[in-house]
Amino acid sequence: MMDMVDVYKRNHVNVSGHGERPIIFAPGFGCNQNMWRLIAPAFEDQYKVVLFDYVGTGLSDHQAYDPIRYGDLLGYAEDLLQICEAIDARDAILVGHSVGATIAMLAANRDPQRFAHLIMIGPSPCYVNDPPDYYGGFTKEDLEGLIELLDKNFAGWANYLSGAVMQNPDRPSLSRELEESFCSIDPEIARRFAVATFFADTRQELQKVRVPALIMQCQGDIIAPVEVGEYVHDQLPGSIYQLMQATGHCPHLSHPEETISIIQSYLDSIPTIDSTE
Amino acid sequence: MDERLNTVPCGFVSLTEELKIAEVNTTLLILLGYSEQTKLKGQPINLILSGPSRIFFNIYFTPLATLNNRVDEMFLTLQTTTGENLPVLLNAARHEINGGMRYECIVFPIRRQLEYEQQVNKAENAAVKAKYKLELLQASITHKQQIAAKLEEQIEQYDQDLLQKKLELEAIRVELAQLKRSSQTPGDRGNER
Repeated sequence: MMDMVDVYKRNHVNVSGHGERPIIFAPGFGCNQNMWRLIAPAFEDQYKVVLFDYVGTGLSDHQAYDPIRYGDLLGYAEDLLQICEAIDARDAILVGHSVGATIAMLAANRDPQRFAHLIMIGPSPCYVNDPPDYYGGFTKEDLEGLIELLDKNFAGWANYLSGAVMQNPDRPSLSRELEESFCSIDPEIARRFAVATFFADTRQELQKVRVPALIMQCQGDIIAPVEVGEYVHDQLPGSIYQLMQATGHCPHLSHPEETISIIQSYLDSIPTIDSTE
Repeated sequence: MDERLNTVPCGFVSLTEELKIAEVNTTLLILLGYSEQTKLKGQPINLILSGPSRIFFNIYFTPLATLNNRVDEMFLTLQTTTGENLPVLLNAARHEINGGMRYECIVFPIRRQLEYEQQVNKAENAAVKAKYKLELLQASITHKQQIAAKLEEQIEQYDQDLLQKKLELEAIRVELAQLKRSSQTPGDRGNER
């Protein structure tokens, strides 16, 4: 049924690198594959590097946006599985940042055979506090306020962009704007993605993970606090937990060297089984 | 800090790579209600952001500032010492200063602008609602027009049917009259016999 969908076009899939084994990078909330710009090239010698955009972000096919499918993280996970199918991923390494880590986990739980390792950077299975036993870091009011902020920051963006493209397709600065606005998103899509992301509760999924997992936790990360990283480690069977020197929520951007070296030394330590299969 | 920068009519804050406040000017201190620099120096920027803005800032600031080396017109809400919200626009540029990376930010309060925008938004929402109602009305008119057209068609059909029936009736009458005439004719003959 899905043969009809051009996944490469829909998710703006980019494949590079010289290796056999795929390493697939799932970006965090609302941003596109540019987020991996500082670390992805480091894996091109050894791996087949796979980058993509979620539908409704970046250079994905915005016509393919389906509010029902993408009103739930599972829709994004299904897309990720379809990308894996399209590139015929086997023994793949799945790297996800933030909500990308959750989407990667959902995908890995639905088709564990495809994946050899799951690397979660700043994951959170549930952003909202659930007292007394769970601390996610946020109140419902914070998250509702966030949705308002998304509206304010991206209002007019969609109109502006479509207007600019239609009136002046050859305008040289436009591609630069597109390039620089890799986090800009239609406010309607942002809102749905935000609700799907920040009101998701995937705590039950952690125990179902059958793929070896590495959790990379930053210090002073207010989106995915240390308590949450430790919770993920505690609930996810056999996971390895790495507290980073990096601070903030985007170590792949703020501390690319450390991020690369942690991923590489984790991957170097695992036995290579893929080449024989 | 340059004395003029301290008192320029907009907030200025210089952040370290760890997103901590390295320097902050007097204008911003006053806007936020702090009496001394020392209360903010070395603190994470998160301290002066409202809850939702903290999330937004941490999602978007690093990607934009790292990959583009600047941030333009980020709408945020700062929090004053009394817990009040201060809506601002933030611009930032990434620079190397004294061997370290810094994010130099200016923040511009937009209370009045925001009020205006909210009014515009309200008006826009009202317009959207009114347009929706209008569309509904137009749809219902179109629907009624279609019904009327169908009824008219039916009436026409009835008229035609009626005409047809009249013609048929006329034909039957004529036939009947002929029959009558022909049945009377032999009787007359009989009388003659």
